[in-house]
Amino acid sequence: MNILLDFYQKYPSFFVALAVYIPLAVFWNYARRRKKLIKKYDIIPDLQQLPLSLGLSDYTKAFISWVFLFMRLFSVRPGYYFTGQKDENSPLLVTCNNFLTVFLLARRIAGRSVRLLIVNTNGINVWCAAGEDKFSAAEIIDKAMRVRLLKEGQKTDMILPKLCLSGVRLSDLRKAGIRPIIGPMYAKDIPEYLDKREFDNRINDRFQFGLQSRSFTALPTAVQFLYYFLGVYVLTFWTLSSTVIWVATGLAFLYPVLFPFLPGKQFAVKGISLGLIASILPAVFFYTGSFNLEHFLFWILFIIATLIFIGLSYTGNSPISNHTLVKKETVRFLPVMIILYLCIIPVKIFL
Amino acid sequence: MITIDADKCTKCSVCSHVCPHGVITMNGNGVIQINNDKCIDCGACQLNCPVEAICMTKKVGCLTIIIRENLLKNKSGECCC
Repeated sequence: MNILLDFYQKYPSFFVALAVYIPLAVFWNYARRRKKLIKKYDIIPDLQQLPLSLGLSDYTKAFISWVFLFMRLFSVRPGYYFTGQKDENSPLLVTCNNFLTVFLLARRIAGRSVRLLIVNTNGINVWCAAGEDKFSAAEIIDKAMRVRLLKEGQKTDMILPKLCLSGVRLSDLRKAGIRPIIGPMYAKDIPEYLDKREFDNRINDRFQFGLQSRSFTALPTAVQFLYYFLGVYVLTFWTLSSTVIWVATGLAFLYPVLFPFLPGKQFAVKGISLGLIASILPAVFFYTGSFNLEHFLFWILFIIATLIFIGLSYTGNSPISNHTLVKKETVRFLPVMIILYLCIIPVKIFL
Repeated sequence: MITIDADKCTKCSVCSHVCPHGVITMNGNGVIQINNDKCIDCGACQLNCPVEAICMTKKVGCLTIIIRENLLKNKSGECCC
């Protein structure tokens, strides 16, 4: 016990990291198991009120879903729902069962009579689910049939999110008696679209990776790296300073925000660019004598390697990455990142 | 990278309607223009082409998938999102 107390007094941050990391890991594991349960969800047969009150509990769940976006903690039971007045002739929107997506959509359509067909995408958002073929024509038809939406000799209008079209073949929907309408790409455009009552295909909607979209991913990316580096810190015990966790988290927040302004076309090159800019700080500390050679080299290597990691990882968090280019980047920069991290070991041992 | 079989293409413009990044556009004369630099291989155009005139491979540009497919040899195609 005394040994443990001595250890705690010497390295309190290690225990703090452990205390944060373990509940997060347990919660994540719980969420992953829950996702398997979601697969067993039976479809709700009748049109029901959307089970989102937009009260404090839903806002809390939405906030947690956003902060831990990469963990996909909550989902909505797939089914056939309505908001506003129960009206079988109201516009029918199709969406995924990711909690945050449904929450943001529900906020936008609050007060309007709208029907929602929520398909089972295992809690994944529309874009990623379509990329993995979980948001597909087959899934929409299956759910529509189960809720008895499709009637023989009658066409059913369905407004689809534009971002689902990489997984949904429109001709398959037409064959099943659905009249698919390409809806808006952004939830913010939905109220105006619904108010028009003339549901045209939004063929000119284009994805804009602007500051708002990037800022939306900044906090989750920072939390993702906080989680990774808490793990690294716990695994390497007390050999690393706890500052590495906060530096990595801060850089992971900055990268998405500054993304278009960073020199370079590739994600990793942009990371290196930010790394070189951020390295000015340890260089100044070294120049003024606040850092010795060990600290200086450690931080330079750590910052650049971590920013390559953040850059490569951000390919999955952004909707503008191309598989072929990311593969080339990974082949080129993943070894560089590993070498830079490995160089930290002799710096810590010999300096 | 997208290529279009001009013999099969009926210029129905579905590909340009479903593309989220405006990679495929059609001008007033019905000439299709492709900006492959913008393409993210999402496959929406190929999936929705009624005459299968578009040749490309749908893939997700994500580090996790690339590591799973190439280093871990896991071809399930699922990422962590």
